[in-house]
Order: sequence, then C-alpha cells, then structure tokens
Amino acid sequence: MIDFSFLTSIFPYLIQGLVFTLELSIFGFILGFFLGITLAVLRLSNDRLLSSISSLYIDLIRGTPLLVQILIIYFGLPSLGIYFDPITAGILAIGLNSGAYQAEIIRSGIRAIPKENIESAQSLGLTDFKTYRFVVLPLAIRNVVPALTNELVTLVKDSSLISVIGVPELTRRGEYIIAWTFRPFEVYLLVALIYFVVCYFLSKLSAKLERRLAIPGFFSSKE
Amino acid sequence: MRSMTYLLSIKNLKVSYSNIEVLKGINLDVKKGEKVVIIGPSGSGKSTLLKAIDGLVKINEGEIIFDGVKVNNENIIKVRSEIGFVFQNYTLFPHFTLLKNVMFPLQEVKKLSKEKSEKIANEALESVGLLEKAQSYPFEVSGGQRQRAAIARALALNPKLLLLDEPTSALDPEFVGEVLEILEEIAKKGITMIVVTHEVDFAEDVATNVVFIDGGEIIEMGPPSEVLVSPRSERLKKFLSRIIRKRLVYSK
Repeated sequence: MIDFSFLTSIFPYLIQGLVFTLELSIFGFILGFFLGITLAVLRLSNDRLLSSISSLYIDLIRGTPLLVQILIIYFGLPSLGIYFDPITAGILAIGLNSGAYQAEIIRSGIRAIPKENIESAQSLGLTDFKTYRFVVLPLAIRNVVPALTNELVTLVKDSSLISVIGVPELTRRGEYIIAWTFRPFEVYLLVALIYFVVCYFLSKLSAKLERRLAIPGFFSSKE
Repeated sequence: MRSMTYLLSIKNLKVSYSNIEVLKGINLDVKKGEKVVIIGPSGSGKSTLLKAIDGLVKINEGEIIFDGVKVNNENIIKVRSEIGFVFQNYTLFPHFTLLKNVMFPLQEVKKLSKEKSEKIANEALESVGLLEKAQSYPFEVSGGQRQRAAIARALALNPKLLLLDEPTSALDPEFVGEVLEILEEIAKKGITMIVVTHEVDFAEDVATNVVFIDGGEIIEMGPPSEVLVSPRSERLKKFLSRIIRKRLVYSK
C-alpha cells in the first residue's frame, strides 16, 4: 500500500526538481514567445522569401518529435563544435520547439483582428514596427491568451523529456528515487500529482489573466 | 504644374484585387477646402478609392499627387500623417481609452510631449462633446460616440485632408444624426474632405462636388445641384431613385 511517510520524505527532493522543471518551461516559453512573434510576423509578411523561411521552420519543428530535437541539440551539435550545458540545451530545445507552435497561435490571433483596426493604425502614419508593437500584437495576444497558457501547460509536461539529457528536473529525480528504493508506483504517482497541481494552478491563472486583459466593454457590446 | 493648384490629384488610377479590376482609371482633382462626396452602389470601388489615396491598397497604374508631391513608398508614412481617415467601424483601438486613442498618434506620430498631447486630445474630445467619456473604452460607449471620437482623433492631428469611409453606415439610425451634425460643423471650418456616404441630404448640404462611381469608374461628377438634382446617366437616376425611395419608406 501507499506509505505516506515515505512520500513525505521524498517530497522536498522532488520539489527541488520542480524548480528545474519550471525554469525549463518558463524560460523555454519566453524564448518561444519572442521566436513565435517573429515567425508569425515573418509568415504574414509580403516578402515571399521571409514568409517561406518562416513556414519551413514551423513545418520542420512541428513535423519532428521534441525528444529528437532535444537529442540533436545536446548530443548532435557538439560534433559541429557547439556545446551546451544540459539546462541551456533544455531551454533552447523547448524554446525553439515552442516557437513554432506559438507562431501559429499568434498568427491566428493576428488574423482575428478586424482589418480596419490595422488599416487605421497605418493610416495614422505609424510605421510597420509601431503598428505591430502598439496595435497588432497587443490585440492579437489578447485574442489568444487561453491558447498561449495552454501552450505553457503543455511545456511544463513536455519538459519531462529533458530528463533524458540529465537535467535533475522532476521526472529525472523521480527516476533517481526509484533506482534507490524500487518503488515506482508511489513515486511516479507523486510525480504525476505534482505536475497536475502545477498545471491546474496555471490554467486557473490563465482564466484570471484573460479577464484582466479583456478589452473593456467588448463582450457586452460585441457587434 | 497643373497639380500644384490642387491639394489632391488622382490620375488614371487603376487598382485590382487578385484579377478583378476594382478601379478602372479614376481621374479626380480636389482643391483645398473642397468637400467631395462620393456616392455609388456597394462594390463600386468607393472605399478602395479612399484606401488608395492613403496608400492602403496597392496601385496597379496611375498616380496620386498629394500637396504637390507624387505619393510613393518612400513618402507614404508622411503623407498618411497629413491625411485623417475615419472608417465605417473599428477606427479606434479597442484596448485604449478614448483619450489614449486621441493622444497616442500625437505622441507617436507627431512626437509631441505627453502633456501637450493630452491637452490637445482633451480639447478634441470636448469639441465633439465627449470630454466626460475620455476615460471610457471604445466598446463602452455607443456607436455614435465611437465615430465622434474617431473624428476627434483624426482632427487632433490637424490633417490637410480628411477621408471618411461611410462614417454612418454601421450605426443604428438613432446615432446617425449626431455624427452628421459634427461632420457638418467640421465642413464649415474649411477643412478639405472626401466622404463616401449614402446620406444624400448630407451631400446636398455640405458637398462642393458630388462624384458618382459605378463599376470602378466615375460616371458623373459636379456640384450637388447638378448631379443630385438633374442626373444625366441612367445609372445615377436609378441609384438615386432607389435611395430616395428607401428614405421615403423610412420616413413613413
């Protein structure tokens, strides 16, 4: 049966792993966010070359497993003389991967903006950069807050894959404990529970963020 | 030389969307202070013409000369900052308060200080009777108030030319009057305007020139007393009779 005193004793050790998990997923998410904005803007640009490069990147990343991408960055790149420590490699892998997904999310957010809002910004004499910075992106991101936080939740879970390159994050620490104690069921169950609590908390935060960022009056008088 | 006498001179303007030619060679001259009202059926190219003037659509052929200078990719940002544009809807940025909507281009385009921008913005909102709504967001006010604020924003930038694309078409009938009143007031102040509208009464009262566009071409053009009172072409006669019939039905 489940031994609670055992679980309590390993809990602090797992929580230290959670810190790495959050570090990987949050920094990976932020990297992916800026990459995603860049890719989305390039993909929608009128420049065919830039748009195709962006599409190609998005297709390549989305068409290959994250695990393989992690292995290429950590074990593959050193053959080209490029070395990363495990945590940097992990953040990089998650960020480069998430960038492709976030690009598609942000692109859909941009497409949902009424065309007149964008034309109106341009008609004021704003440069393209300012049009994006002050009008297009703030509106686009508001449109996709739920999808973006969903992506963050996915990253928290997917960061468990980083365990394969030796980062002592939550899953990896669970495996260490199992190697010492041979109690996989209880340990994995506790690891799963910790992931669940974090993800649940993040989803709740998302709803709050969505309300905070909502455009005042929009839903009550949507035409 | 000829173009120098006009604020805006459009020559043989052609615009296509994919393969469909929407404007088929428009020639139009607008003198400083003139109020041009463009009428015509839906899909005739009226809105495209306004957007072309502001460089918002790609021009296939012809040229636009604004304030003596040929508009091109290099000077379009400057040209846009001298032309006000009010759309049918969604002119204002929904994530800014009305005050910020008006202030924002003053700060970012005209590079004025925050204090100066705020002062001008408040005056502009006051002039359209919206000072007490300055801290409201566009979707918290009525459609009519939104359009009035959009007009205030355009005017605060002190434009040489004001373009209005069906400014009352998206409004509930009860709000049309207040927006037209503001526009009539502005017109009296001497600003050059091009207005696309179905409001024939407004055209009669305000326009110095009425332009009837159909099928991407200018069919008739002249003072309202000619174009609206004694139309020559069959197309315009039909168009006017449809609009007037609609108006009679409404007024009953």
